[in-house]
Amino acid sequence: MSNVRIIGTASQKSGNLVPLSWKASTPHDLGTILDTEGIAIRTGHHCAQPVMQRFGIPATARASLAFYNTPGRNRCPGQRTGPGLRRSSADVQPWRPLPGDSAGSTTASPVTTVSWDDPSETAEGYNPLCGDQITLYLKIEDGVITDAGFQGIGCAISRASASLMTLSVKGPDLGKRGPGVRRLPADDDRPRRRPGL
Amino acid sequence: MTLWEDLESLSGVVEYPSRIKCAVLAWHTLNAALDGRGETVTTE
Repeated sequence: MSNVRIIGTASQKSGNLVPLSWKASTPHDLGTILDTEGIAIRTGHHCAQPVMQRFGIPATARASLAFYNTPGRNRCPGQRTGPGLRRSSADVQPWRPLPGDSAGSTTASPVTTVSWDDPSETAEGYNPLCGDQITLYLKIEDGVITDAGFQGIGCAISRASASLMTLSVKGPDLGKRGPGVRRLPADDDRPRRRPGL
Repeated sequence: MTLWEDLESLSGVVEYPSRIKCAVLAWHTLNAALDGRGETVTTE
């Protein structure tokens, strides 16, 4: 499976944990897609954040095997290659790797749409939960956002949302800006997925 | 698909509570840019 990179291959290492990274998507996307297939894996830094930062790995997906995993249930994540999250329409800005980035590698790879040497406003955002990072650039003329772009690394959801955001904010009068991002509903108010899915 | 339909598709993330912060990160960052806040915005 050339798409999978096993993390932690030292000869003295043994055990039942298989941390891996996936060249086609971030670990969190992989976990979400497999979850819809009824396959449970762990994603994230697995309480090893310092050493993962040392080696520049934002997150891994981890298959944890135990006595209750029968051979029939040990379907390898690599065998799951069907359609995943629905792709958005074609007018979403394409993800372009930064110069020097290996083509086709989106995992933890910087992507960029537009940036300027002299933007009107910039801001940086960070989602520690998933490791998403974004730098937003706005060009504002006479109170109107005339262009917007971003650079960043992150999962498919964060990049899709950022792309749609930069596409949709151009043009509005800043004086008419609404309440913006609302507070998320409390945990108890959030819709739950049905058990068993 | 229109841009607004694309935006609406983001609402599907409510089925994945742990991923909501991925979807709102860019919009929090937009607010910070418009408010001229210098510090990095986090979703925590």
